[in-house]
Amino acid sequence: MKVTSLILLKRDLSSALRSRWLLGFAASFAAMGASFAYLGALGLGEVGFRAYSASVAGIINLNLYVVPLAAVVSSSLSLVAERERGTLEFLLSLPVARWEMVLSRLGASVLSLAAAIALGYGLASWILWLLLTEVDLWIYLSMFGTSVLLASAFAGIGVLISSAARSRFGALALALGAWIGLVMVYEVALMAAVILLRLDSVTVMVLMALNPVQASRLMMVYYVDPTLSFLGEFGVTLLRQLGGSLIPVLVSSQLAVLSVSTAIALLIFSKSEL
Amino acid sequence: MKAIEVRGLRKTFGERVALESVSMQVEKGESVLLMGPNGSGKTTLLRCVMGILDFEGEISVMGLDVKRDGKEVRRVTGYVPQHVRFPEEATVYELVDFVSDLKGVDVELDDVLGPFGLTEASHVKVGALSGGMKQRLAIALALIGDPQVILMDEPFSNLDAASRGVVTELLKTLIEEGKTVVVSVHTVSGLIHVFEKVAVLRDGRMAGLFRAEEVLRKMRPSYRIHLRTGNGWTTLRTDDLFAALSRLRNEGHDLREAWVEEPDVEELMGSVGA
Repeated sequence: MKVTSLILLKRDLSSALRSRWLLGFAASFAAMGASFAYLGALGLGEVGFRAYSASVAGIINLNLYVVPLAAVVSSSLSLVAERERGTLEFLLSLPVARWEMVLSRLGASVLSLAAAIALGYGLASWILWLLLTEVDLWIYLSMFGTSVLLASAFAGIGVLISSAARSRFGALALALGAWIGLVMVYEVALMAAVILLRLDSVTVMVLMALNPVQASRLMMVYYVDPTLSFLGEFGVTLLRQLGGSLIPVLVSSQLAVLSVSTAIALLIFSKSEL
Repeated sequence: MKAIEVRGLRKTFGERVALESVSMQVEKGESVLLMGPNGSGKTTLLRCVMGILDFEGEISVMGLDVKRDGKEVRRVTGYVPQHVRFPEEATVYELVDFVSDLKGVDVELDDVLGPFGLTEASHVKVGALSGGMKQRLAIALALIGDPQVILMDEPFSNLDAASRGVVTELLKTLIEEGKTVVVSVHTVSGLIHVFEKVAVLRDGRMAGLFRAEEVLRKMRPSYRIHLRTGNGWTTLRTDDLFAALSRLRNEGHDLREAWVEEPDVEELMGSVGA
């Protein structure tokens, strides 16, 4: 007998890969990734690792804005769309547990986003491959992994929104609010807090780790420059205090966001009406 | 072991009480017509039995506790919802494949769709089917896996006369095969004689569970034929609608001017003292 979760995942993944949101994201991410790779190299007028670094800087910013938006929007519609279309009753009348539905939607969101991100990275790396004599594949894969982790954390937030929302419009509004709050407002608020409250490095680190966007930013910067010299005194202090634990701490914090969001989504969805 | 056992069922939606102290037992192989006016709680009761809605009280199906073993209950129970809504982008074939996978059975497409005249539509997207075809598909899907318990919520709501005949014959076959069948209707249809028992819901409470022959005996005469004559409108009451219409035609009445009124549930409840 086939496993229920895999049957659901197969169906949900097929549906997610046909989503217009995801296709739009994949196309734009691929186009932007390729453009950054190409223009980054051209802008420096030379080839080699410096060209690569310029491209990577572009891809970091691309990631931190676009990946969370695509992840939270597409996953926020996953359950509420079924509710609004009235197809939820059909699914719930089948031998399926509600928790299996939630995890299947989350899994399908993460896998489809990973595929879209891989497409963008793939195009960019193909262009870079033409320009570079020596490509640091490990950095590139680490960046890809960080993007997928960031997408997963925001997919968790999106599924949480989807389990609680009563309409697609409401879910979209909440998703955009979460994106603006975590991607834009949080950064400005953090900078203001650092300046006004003179926060110490540990507090800043904790506040950054709590937000998947900031945690990903730190991870990506670390992969490009393991000395964290871009971050000045803060980077030096961070490395002195955490050293080799920096990446595990940041990965854990994002997994924690994913786990907590998913747990709350499971709780809400298990009690929700049609 | 009862096929369905409901004890002290209570269901609320916010402040509104939809079902209060509902208890009923359905023996294995028994057929029950669940009647009640709109808003009496029929749909809610069936959804609770399927474990689609959360509830207070106890419900078991084939000895399985709905709260604890909801997934297994849905494996042994076929359910046809009142408002059939499927994922529109899926084809009929994909839905059959999906449901049979979840129920853990291998099926022949023609065996599932053939009795409902849907074999030709197997590769058509569900969104392109008519309301009647969707209703027939819902019944076909509910019967996948040869469930021992079958619940149908207003299965005639979207069907034309020919399809109603097909479904009525199907119900008779299922009952003859010894399946446990519960069908809800909001009008008193000509179906009572097909079932062994009639359960009546009123304002969220079980008003009574009667033997069908008792209901038929007490309700007679059931149909009202309103007929225009030279003196205005005349009303005739009859049990045998077709014989009465035939007699009227033979007497030279213009039946294009006549209309037939089925007895409503209130009348039925009054007849049986519910």
